[in-house]
Amino acid sequence: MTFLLSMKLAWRSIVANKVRSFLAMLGVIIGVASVIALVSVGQGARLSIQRHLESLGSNVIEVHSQGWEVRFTPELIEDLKTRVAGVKYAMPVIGLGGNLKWRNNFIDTPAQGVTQDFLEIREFKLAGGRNLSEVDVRQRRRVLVVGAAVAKQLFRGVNPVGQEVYFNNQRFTVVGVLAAKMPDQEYGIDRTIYLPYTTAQRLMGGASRIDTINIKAAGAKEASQAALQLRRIFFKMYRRPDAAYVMSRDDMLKQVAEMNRTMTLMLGAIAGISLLVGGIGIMNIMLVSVTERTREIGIRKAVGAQNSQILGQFLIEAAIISGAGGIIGILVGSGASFLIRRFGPPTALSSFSIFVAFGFALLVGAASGVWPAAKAAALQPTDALR
Amino acid sequence: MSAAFMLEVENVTKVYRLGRIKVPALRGVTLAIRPGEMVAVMGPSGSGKSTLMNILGCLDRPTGGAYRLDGEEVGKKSDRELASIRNRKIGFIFQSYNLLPQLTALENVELPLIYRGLPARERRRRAEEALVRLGLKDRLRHSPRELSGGQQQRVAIARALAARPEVILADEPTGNLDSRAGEEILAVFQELNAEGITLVMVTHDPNVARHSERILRLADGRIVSDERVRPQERISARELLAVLPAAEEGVNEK
Ligand SMILES: Nc1ncnc2c1ncn2[C@@H]1O[C@H](COP(=O)(O)OP(=O)(O)O)[C@@H](O)[C@H]1O
Ligand SMILES: [Mg+2]
Repeated sequence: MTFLLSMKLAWRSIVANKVRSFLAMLGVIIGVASVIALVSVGQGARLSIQRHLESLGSNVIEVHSQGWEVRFTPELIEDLKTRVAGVKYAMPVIGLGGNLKWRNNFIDTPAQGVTQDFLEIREFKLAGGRNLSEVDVRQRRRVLVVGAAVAKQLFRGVNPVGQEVYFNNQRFTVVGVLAAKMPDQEYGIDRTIYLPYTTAQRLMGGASRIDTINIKAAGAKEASQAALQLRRIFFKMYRRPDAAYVMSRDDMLKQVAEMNRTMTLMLGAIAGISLLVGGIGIMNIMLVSVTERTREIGIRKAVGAQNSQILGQFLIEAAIISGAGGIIGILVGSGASFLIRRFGPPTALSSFSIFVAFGFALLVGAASGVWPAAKAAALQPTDALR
Repeated sequence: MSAAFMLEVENVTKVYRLGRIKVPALRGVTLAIRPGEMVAVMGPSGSGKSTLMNILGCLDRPTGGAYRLDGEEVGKKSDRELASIRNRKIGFIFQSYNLLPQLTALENVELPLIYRGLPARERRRRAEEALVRLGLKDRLRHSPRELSGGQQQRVAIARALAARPEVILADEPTGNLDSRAGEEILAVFQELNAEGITLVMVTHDPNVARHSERILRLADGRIVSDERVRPQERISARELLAVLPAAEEGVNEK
């Protein structure tokens, strides 16, 4: 009951000094809001990378050429399949993109030149039609397998299989549709089209370099061993360590996790500093408040308030300021995160960061209230009333 | 309860320290006040009246000597116990009222009861009762700023009264009031005293002092006289109020 009343009294003194209380809160608001917004940006980036990597399929190794002279030939890729232990599939990948047109609809979409093995490597399932075939690759056929999001966005309910489309003004036939991997996403892995890499080479004319190889190993252990062996092979071929960039998906996931940890640490430091500054603001206000309200403290003591009751009142006041600042900070931070997602990179609110920021704000608020509150409580009644 | 004296002070001294300078405010005061007495303390400015009242009210500790309140030695008590004594046994009235401006009259009166931990309903009932008794029935939700000086002092008395103290100590309670408002306060004091509350008030107005039954005079930190007011010379505030011209209620008197 005394607690409720202390709340009421504290609230009233906060309201009575609106501007001052708000300024005291501002540090906490900015601290909490920036932590929440920043973490949501980091979280969004991490999630989208992680999703992308996961959609690549498990036990996959990507090899990228690093330099103009580093060319991957179909023969080399075939050779790797037998030379490297534990490799189940290996295929060249040519990335391209362009305009896909069907009747009067068109979308811009990324495209990948691959072989029939892409279905197994990327762990896709067909929703309809057929996969690319060896014959398609050998004969450079103008056939496409389209992702689920492409089917949905371009064909609008019509079954794409057998439809004639134009990809960068070249006529293609859709032979297959993939099942969605991430049905909730408009963009990403499901919004890609796949064609024979030989066809892609022809489309691109002179720039038809194979700069990426996708390899799928039999298991996780085989994948990391294969990655080591691949690095050795390319080192021997080009006599420099960075000619080919070999990275297993597990390595990438680890790297993303590491990146995430660094970022979390950095954001934690920012959070700590800004909330500390907020806490100093609160302490300053509380000290002013104690000085300004010496008489009030004297009156309360004269009518019989215990030191602990005075202490409690000032602590609650500090906690309310920081708590209210924390709540406003959560709202502002969430709003900022929403706006960033609207106009910039993807964001993802993390309930963990919200809890931590709010909890830390309360803690800092209470801690910075302790000293002024103890000062207030220790006053002699006559000294306070003078 | 059974103590012969309500307030008993023996050779009390008080020395204020201002840096290296020592200011002796009380130089050995001895006095005893029986339960139910009404005493006025007089003396020139700086003679130590407020210092004595603060010690009697447990707002400050004496430098030397002994002080017994209702038979209990106060000097050995902890801060915690002193707060509890202030809360339960003593009602202190100040010249400058000392109300909390951010609270209503009612909440101000509830304050000591809050610190005592009384349930809200009981608090509210007692506070209303005290304010009604002091003629402030229509002012319960007013802020002190909206009240005249006399009304504020009556709120302060209600605050003391609601706690049902055994002693009321008043340091120049009528010092800031005009004669009619002051007289109304004195009328309340005489009524409370008639009901058995021990009452000590500081004044430098001889006419105010004559409302009590005993007058102590301080000079330079010592008691220089202690005399009874002859019953025929004692002023009854009620009788005096009947012949004073009526003041308008609610007007801010200074
Ligand atoms: N807190 C204090 N610090 C130093 N000196 C004080 C303090 N309070 C009172 N005094 C001094 O003590 C003496 C008595 O003061 P006080 O009790 O207030 O007198 P009165 O109420 O009779 O006017 C005065 O000389 C005054 O200046
Ligand atoms: Mg004085």
